[in-house]
Amino acid sequence: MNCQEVREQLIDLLYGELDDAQQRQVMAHLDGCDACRGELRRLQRARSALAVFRAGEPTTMSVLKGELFGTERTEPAGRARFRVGHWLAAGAGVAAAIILGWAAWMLQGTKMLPTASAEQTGPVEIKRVALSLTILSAPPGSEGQYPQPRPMAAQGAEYQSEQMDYQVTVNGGQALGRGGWQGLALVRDQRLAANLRKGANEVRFKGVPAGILPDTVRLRSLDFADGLTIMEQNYQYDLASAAAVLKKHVDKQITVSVKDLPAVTGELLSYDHRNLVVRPKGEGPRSVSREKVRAIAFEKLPEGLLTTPTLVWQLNNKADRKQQFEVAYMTRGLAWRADYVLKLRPAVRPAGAGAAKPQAAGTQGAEGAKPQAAIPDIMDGADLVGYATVTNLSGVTYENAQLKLMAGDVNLIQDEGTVIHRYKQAQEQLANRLAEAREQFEEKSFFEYHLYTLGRPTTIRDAETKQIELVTGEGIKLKRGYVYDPSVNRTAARVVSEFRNSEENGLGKPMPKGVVRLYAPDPEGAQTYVSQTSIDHTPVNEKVRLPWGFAFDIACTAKTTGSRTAGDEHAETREYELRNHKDYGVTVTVIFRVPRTTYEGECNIPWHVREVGVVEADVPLAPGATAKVTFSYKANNKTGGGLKSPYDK
Amino acid sequence: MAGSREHRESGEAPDGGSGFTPAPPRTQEVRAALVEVGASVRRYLFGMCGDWHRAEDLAQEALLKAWRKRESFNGRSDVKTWVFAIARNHWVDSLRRRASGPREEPMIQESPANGSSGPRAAAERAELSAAVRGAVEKLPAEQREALSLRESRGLTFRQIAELLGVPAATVKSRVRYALLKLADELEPFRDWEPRS
Repeated sequence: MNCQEVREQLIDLLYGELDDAQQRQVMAHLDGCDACRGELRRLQRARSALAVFRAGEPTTMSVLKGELFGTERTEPAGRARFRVGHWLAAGAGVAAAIILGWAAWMLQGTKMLPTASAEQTGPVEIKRVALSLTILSAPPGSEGQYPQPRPMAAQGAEYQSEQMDYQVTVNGGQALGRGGWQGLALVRDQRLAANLRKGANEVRFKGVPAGILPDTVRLRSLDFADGLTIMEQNYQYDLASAAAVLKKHVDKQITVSVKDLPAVTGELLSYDHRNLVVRPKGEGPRSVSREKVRAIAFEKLPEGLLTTPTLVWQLNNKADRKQQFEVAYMTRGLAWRADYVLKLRPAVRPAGAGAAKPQAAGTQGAEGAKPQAAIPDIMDGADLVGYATVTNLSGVTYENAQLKLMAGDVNLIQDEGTVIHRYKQAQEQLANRLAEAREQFEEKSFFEYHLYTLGRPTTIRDAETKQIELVTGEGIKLKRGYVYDPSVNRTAARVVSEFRNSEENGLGKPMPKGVVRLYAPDPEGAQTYVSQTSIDHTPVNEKVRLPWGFAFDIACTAKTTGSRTAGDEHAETREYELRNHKDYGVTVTVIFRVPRTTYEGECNIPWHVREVGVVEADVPLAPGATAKVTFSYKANNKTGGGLKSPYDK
Repeated sequence: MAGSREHRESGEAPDGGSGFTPAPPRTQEVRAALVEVGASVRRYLFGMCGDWHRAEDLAQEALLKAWRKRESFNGRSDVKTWVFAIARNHWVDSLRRRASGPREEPMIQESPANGSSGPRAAAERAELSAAVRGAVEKLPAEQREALSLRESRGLTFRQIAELLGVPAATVKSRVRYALLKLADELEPFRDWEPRS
């Protein structure tokens, strides 16, 4: 390359329009040519001086001040104003950096290549790469307060979702639904910013739910963590709801169309949920009943109002490259619960039921003196399906999201504090742990929680309730039992089904807390809804005990036959009488409650202590048999004490 | 300027080639371009008039013009070039209006206050700034325009060539001569170094 050729290209070099190969050639020539280097220095000096001349440049620019959105609404963009100041500032900063770089290069003779990115401008485009949703189960005590879609109530909400069926009010920056658990979920939204420039960038993130907890929003780079710093984070949620638009139009011109009357155009003086007060030009103020209002025409969307809540970041990108980053936040309006359906299989007559009948009379009055070990366990077959019922009232549709449901009740304030307290606790814990422990996140059990990860991505639309299969078990063996506890029901024994949550039983997955609905076949074989109960979180290999209703055919009575106190000594005798009217034998577990911690007990059949203050005995009952069980205890009031243990119910 | 005429046409004429079908909707493209080059257009106009307030007004008017006639953008040229062509025509029109109307006094420029502090540095900057202004004003119109367009950071040399209707090499040499002339004019300030 000769000097003539190089001088033609110096200007390209100066403005960053040379490709790498050309740049290397020019630089190689410059290394050995004082004259060309001198020219470059002069050119550069002139450019630096121009930068000084331009120094009064405003840092922001409003492009068309609302005009861009005043005439048409082709995109749901929020603010009617673009701020290009940050791009501008970015550009100026980079330009200054290049000038300095060149100065340094010229002074020290070291090479420093100008970056082409100085010329790039434009909004940062972000593309969704992956989305993951972790929905928490409701904390204890919030059962029955599961968020339900409800018809929109009267006016007064600050904003509501577009679907108008879910309403939240802003309360010190916290969106709080009307009572009850409004759901809590962690959303991790991974985006690729392909044209993130080096230096300052403004990233606008739309599609965030109305129920977002703004203080939980975190942004981090996935591939170059040190290179991305957040200078500022703003959550803009001044939504253009009817109420907000009205509010912004006080003292401004509106046109109100009224039923059966000519339209009123005038200044909006005030409004409440019943009336609008409008003053037409040159006339006195007029009150218009809102019931009669057909439509209100506004001149244009006021500035600063958004159609969707938006997160805006000012980012400083140290690396001159595209960045994949992740936005994590917690939001309300997403909730889930477990629902189980347990279908009993058509009744298999308990073994020996028919044969037992003739013997029934013979066992009359056995009074438990002879243990009747011959009564077999009653086993039922059943099929269980567990669904996760996911409700999305967040105001946003999550497309192709990886869905994770979290079950567990750890460390939420249970008895004191408001719902907000619970939110905050859960939110802090989970945001901290989840955002930082990515690897563990993949595991099935996490900390003290269980995670249920849906194997395929799913779309959860706004205002949608979705049911996804969680666990299934076919041919589960249920052991049917009867429990008589006079403190629960004095005249009947409760029916209890018990099964083990194990693989052999067709299950073997942790079962989150939820409602179980029992269906049993009626004599015609049709499944009929029988009963409903709930189960707690149940780990693998634990027994699940499902209390149903009370047995029809087992009559029970209980009485205290003797009670005697002498000094500190106290003695008491109780007697239960059980009659089996079924045509097959059953075993009833009877429960005696002893309000003492230490005592001397005695029973006419084998018995054992289940827990402090609770004594159990199994009473076999042949068909038609009657059994009497007596339990007596002796206790010293001084040494035995009164029982105030939490185990005693 | 022949180039100006040509671009005026491509900027304003509706798409005549398609006959029955309307021009494709380029609204989004134009909107994005306006946002993207807004500051560059202002910087270009500042280069031409030397006054940020006036540049702001002219830029807003030019962008509004571009937005109003967005339907006429036919996609044959680069959208940024199209916006700049409208800005350039607007600048020429404003000169014509000025020539016929009453002469306004240019607004007094605030001395550049950013950067290093201290009265001496500020004074040096102010002096340099005034010298650059004088030197820029002395440049031949073609060179000043080419330099202003390139320094606006909105267009590349190739796009400027398209806008002005001259070969890219011509644009480059205009910018080069402009910068060398500035360097000569600013020789007394040769020891000045840009500091942040």
